[in-house]
This record gives sequence, C-alpha cells and structure tokens, in this order.
Amino acid sequence: MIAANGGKLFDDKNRPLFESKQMLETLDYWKRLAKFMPPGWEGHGYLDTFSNLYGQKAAMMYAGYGRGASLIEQYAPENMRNTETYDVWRKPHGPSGTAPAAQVDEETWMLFKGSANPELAKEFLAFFYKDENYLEYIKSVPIHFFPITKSLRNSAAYRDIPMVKRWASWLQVQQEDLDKDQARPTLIIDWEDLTNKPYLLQILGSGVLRDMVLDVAVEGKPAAEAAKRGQQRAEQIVRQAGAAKW
Amino acid sequence: MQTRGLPGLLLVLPALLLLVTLTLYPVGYGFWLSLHAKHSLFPQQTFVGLDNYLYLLNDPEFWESLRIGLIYSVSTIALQLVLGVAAALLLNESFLGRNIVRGLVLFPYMIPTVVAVILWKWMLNNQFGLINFGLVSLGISNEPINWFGRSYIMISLILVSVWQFFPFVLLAVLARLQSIPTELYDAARVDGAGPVNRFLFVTLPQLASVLFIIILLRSIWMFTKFDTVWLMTQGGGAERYIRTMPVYAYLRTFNYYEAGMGAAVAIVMFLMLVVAATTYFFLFRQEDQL
Amino acid sequence: MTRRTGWQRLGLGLAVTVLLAFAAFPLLWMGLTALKPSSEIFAWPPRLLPEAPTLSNIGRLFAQTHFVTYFKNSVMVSTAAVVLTLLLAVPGAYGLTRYRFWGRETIAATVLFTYMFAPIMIIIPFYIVMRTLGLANTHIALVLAYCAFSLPFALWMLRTFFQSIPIDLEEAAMTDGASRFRAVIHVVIPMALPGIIATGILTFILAWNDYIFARILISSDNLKTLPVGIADLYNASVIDWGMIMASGLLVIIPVVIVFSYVQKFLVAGWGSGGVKG
Repeated sequence: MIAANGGKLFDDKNRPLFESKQMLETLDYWKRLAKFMPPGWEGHGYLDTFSNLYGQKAAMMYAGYGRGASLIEQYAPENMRNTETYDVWRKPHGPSGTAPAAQVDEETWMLFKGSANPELAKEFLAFFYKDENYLEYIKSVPIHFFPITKSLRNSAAYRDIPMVKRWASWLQVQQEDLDKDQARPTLIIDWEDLTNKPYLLQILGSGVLRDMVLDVAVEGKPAAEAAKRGQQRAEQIVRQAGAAKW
Repeated sequence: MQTRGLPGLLLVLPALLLLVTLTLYPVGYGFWLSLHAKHSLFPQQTFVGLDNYLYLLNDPEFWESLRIGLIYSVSTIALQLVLGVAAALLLNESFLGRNIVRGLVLFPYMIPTVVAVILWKWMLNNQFGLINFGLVSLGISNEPINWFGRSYIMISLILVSVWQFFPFVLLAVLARLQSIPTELYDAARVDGAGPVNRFLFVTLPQLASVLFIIILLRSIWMFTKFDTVWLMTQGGGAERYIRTMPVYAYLRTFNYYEAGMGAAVAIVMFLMLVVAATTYFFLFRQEDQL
Repeated sequence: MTRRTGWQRLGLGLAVTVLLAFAAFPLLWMGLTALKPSSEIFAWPPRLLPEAPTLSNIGRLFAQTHFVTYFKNSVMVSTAAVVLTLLLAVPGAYGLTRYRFWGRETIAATVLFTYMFAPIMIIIPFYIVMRTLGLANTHIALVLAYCAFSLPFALWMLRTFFQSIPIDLEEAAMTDGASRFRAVIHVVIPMALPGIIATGILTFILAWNDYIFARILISSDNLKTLPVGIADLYNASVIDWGMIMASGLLVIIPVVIVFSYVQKFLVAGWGSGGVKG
C-alpha cells in the first residue's frame, strides 16, 4: 500500500520512515476502509476472509487468486462460480503515488550452502521447470497457478487447462502486474531492498506494521500517534539487527 | 513401616534417570541461551549477560503479556476446578446411563487441540456459527457476537480452554471419590450431617491430597499453555489481545528471530513458577500418610 | 443408596443434561457436519441435521489422505508411552511412598520442576538431544518425550493413591507369609487400580493429543501422528471442512469406546473399598 502511495518504508540509512506523509495517508485510508469491513474483522483469519467472500457476507477481499478460485468453486452457490460474479479489481494508487502496486506471494526453492549435492539439486530444478513437467505439477493442485516461466505461461497446453480457462481474467491481471513491473515481494519497495535491507524479516515478524493498522482502524487512535509508536519500535528492531546507520 | 531406604531409591531411579537426561539439558540450554543475543536462524551468538532481562524489564509488550497471561491462567484454573469437581460429584451418583455419560464427558480432553480449536472456531464463527445463530434466535443478543474480535476473544479463549481441560480434573477427582469408603458417609449421616456438611467434612478432606496436586499441575500447565492460545488466532487477527507469556516467548524466538530474548522470557516464567510452587508447597503441603 | 425424592431426581437429571450438553454437544455438531455434503455446511440458517447425509467426507478422508497411517502411528506411540510411563511410575511412586530415604521429598518436589519450563521452549534443545542420539524422526523419540513429560504427574498422582491405602493391609499380607513383592501385587495394586487406570488414561491422552513434539521430531509423512496430520489438513491448499470434521469424528469414537469399557475399573477394589474394621 505504501508503494501504491509513492512512499518508502526505510531510507538509505535504514531509518524507518513510518511518520512520513505517505505512511500517514495510508493509515488514514485503512481507517476509512475499516468502516466497511465485516464486524469482527480484526479477529478473522486468512481463511475467514475467503468464507466471507464465497459465503456472500463480503463484497470484496484483499488478495484471493488461486486458493480463492478453488474455494469459490467448492463452496459458493452454483451460479456464482465464475468470473462474472468474482473478478479482480486493480488496486487504486494513493494521493501521493502514481501507480498501483501488487504483492508477490510464492514458494521459493533454497539451496543451502554446504549441502551435499548442489549439482544434483540444480539438475532437479532444471528438470522440474521443463514445460512438460512443470505443467504436470500445476495440474496436480486444485488451484490455478501462475507459472513462473514465460514459456509455460504462453503455451497452449497451460492455457487449455480448464481451471485456467475459467479464471483467465484473474491471471491476466497478474500478467499485467509483471509486465508493468509493479509486483514486489512483501516489504520490498525497490528491488535493491532484497540485498541491502537484511532486517525486513524481523520487522515483518514483530507485527509493527500490523499493529499500526490495528491501532488506527480498531482502537481508533489518530494516525500520528500510531505512527509514532510504530516508528519507535521499528527503530529498535533495526538497531538490534545491527543495521542502524543513522 | 518405613524400612531400609535403599530399595525405595532404586525403585525411583529409572524414572529419575529418564527425566534428568531428557529434561536437564534442554532446561540448561535455555538458561545459557537467555544470556546471549542470538539470531534464531544463524548459528552465531554473542554473550550479553543480563541485557536481555534488563530489556524485558522495560518492555511494555512483556508486561502486557504478563498481565494477559495471569488473567488467562487464573480464570481458566479456577473454572476448570469448579466445573471438574462439580461434574465429578455429579457422576459419582448412580443413575441410568452413567457409564456412557462418563465416557462422553471426557470427550473435550480426548480430541487433539487442533480439532478442538477448529471446532470451536467453527461454532463461534460470527457469520456462520451455530452459537451466534442460537443466541440471536433466542433473543439473547440482538446481533451476532464477534467472538474473535478484541472484546470477546479472551472470553472465547477461556471458554475453549475450560471446555478442553476440565475433564482432567473430573477424571482425577472421580477416581478418588470412588475410593472413599461409604462407611464414612454412613457415619456422618448417623451423626445428622446434611449433604453440604457431608461434602465439607467427609468428601473435601478425602479429596485434599488429590486436589493439592491437581491445582498445582493445572496451574503450571495453564500458565505455560501454548497450543490452545496460539491456535485461536495463529498469530493473526486479534492475537495481541491474548498474547500470553508463552506466546510472547514463542514470538520473540520465531517471529522477531531473537532466540536469546525468547529464552529469557521462558526463564522468567520458570522463576515465577518456582517461587509460586515453593510458596504453595510451604502453605499447603499435606503430611504423608503411612 | 438412599432413595431420592422426585425433586432430587429431577435436579440430578437436569444437571447431568447440562453437563452432557456442554461437554458433548460439540461432538455431536462435529459428527453431523462430518456427514453433510459441502453445499450444506455453509447453509444459512444452519440446519442441525443433514438433508442429504453422506459418507463422502469420510471416504475422501481415507482415499485422499494418509489418515489411516496417522491413526495407526498415534495408537502405537500413545500405547507405548503409557506402558513405559506406568512401568517407571508405579514402582517409582511406591518407592517414594513406602520408603524413607535421604532426599526423598527433594526428589519428589524437583521432579515437578521440569514442568515449569514452558514446553514450547524445551522443544528445540530436546530435538538436538534426539538428533545426537540418532533418534530424530523416530517413534522412539516421541515415546521418550511423552514419557518424560508424563512421569512427573504420574509419579505424583500415583503417590497420592498409594498414600491413601493404609499400610496395615500390606503388613497383614506379609505376616501371612507373603513376600513384600507379592503383597504389593495382590493387595496394593488392586486397591490403587482406579488411580493407575486414571493415570494411564491421562498419559494416553497427553500422548494422543500432542502436537508440538510430533511436529518437531517427526519429518517423514509415514511416521506422522494424528494431530500433525489433521493440522496439515487444515493448512492444506484447499480447506475441506467436511473432511476435517470427519477426521475429528474418527479420532474420538474409538477412544470413547475404550474408555467406556475401561472406566468400570475406576471403582475401587472389591465391593465398597476401604478398610474393614
């Protein structure tokens, strides 16, 4: 959201920018959104957001995609299991931003340093991602996947998978995000962040950002106050990680 | 007749051996870890002495977890006790179908925590749950209650915890009740004692030693309970309103990636329990019957 | 047994019904949901009984998951844990009760200290110990873990029960010429049977129920126990509520049956129990 509002989370010296104008605007946006959320939303888990959607208690949800499609197909009323009823709306951008931003979610392979057979592992991955094998994997799970290889994405065999056909417009949006380079992993705003900000895992785990949103949307605190508390906690976390350069 | 002590020691030795080897090292490791700053995923650590503890002293999240932890423990222990003893007394009476009832009533304790929490999450779901449906239909409430929102989540947690664990108390107390000689009750009746007096002066003293250990165990276990609490929110939603100390220790280790800090929280819990248990023993220790 | 008045019978019946409803209604709800097809599970307003009851959830559970394997594993591990725990705890508790030796009370109290260190924090060093012993990812590791976790409370519970059995009985048997060992087997154990059974059941359930140790110590799918298997169902890519409820149902029924059979042993010794004269 911050990215869609043209902001950054941390500056070059790794200092958190939680009290910036862009962050305050984003927090206010959350506050306004909260009015329209189902009652008790702060207690809803990831799966509850889906059941709200296919159970027709909510009109919109934040990020559904593959799992959402399969749950809709399983639990929504028969006549609603299609893209006419459920479609993707590209997120707007904020007053201080210029373009929408999307978050990437994926399962990554990791090859550990000091592992016994690194070459074999690489061979396996090459084998796994060959179109005909990758396709089999994609077909084995009852959700529609967005393949990471362009070759598979553009292949007829992939496009012909029934579920992929049914939810084609959803996949189209994901393609656009990639084409416009507007998709990033969690907490990453610029690609360099991946290497020069090693404390992001702790920030995510500590729930600082989530708490700021809850403070504003559930506890009703003013954005400035929530931001100040978040700033203090985030600064402490960066310092503990030994990355504070300010 | 207390004879040559050695056989006694030998009888206890195998059990002791197992306990010492399998728990001494982990606890020792915990102490050691709490004196270091260690990123949970990397093997290096730096010795920081008592810094972790000093940090916790000033950490509002720590004190909040203590407050929430105490509210949770005390409520659940008290309710489990009352419900468990009452149920045991009830099931000690003979009535038709008693055996089946005894089996069914243990059900909450017998299912894995995961299933129990899923079941209650389902029943307490504020959109689709049965409980809200019942409450609203019977007019007890005007609108569905958000059992997992910030106002009610502690109550839901206490409800699920009491439901899940009261059978433990029930089982232990019932077993003890069954071995109280009926002559004691007969004698009391002859002396003119009514049911309340019979409970206070015959039942309760007989139950004293079982209750002593039950209260101790349930207290320790509810104070250190992790599974049930964590599974209610799995770290999302209104988690911070039920963030007890064990959960906080877990978060420090696995979410903040500060293993030393997490261990420090666990050690603080440990010391609190040691003090409480020692006091408890001192106050309530039963003399050995021989 | 005194005869009850009509009011007392009514009160008793009411109390039992309330207790049963509180404890067991969720079981019923779970069972009914397990028998409903997917479309009915989210019906609003909720219906108690399925319109089109189906065994398909259970069928899917057996066909699409390794539920049966997990069930077998849980039974094996839990039973082994009970056997090992009782083997160590019964003599141990007896030793702590009937014999006086130096450090006895200290040992008894210290044994409880292991509970005061939150299990969630013990788990990682415990795993390291198991790995060093070459026991990582084995059922033996689980049995040892459950036994270590149950021993303290087993020792204390059994101690309570042994203490309530007057020593006169054993002395009487021994003056009749029996060795101490025989006296114990034939006199003390039967009287303490309710306590032993109760301890055994509680240990079984502790092992049956455990998630944390099984999750960390076991990595092979074919060695997994039920709580881990069921939790994975909940976290699977597609949630199948019917299947999850079905798994809960199947988990509980055998245990209830066994307990209903075994619980008659909760009644002490012969007849009314206690010492005569």
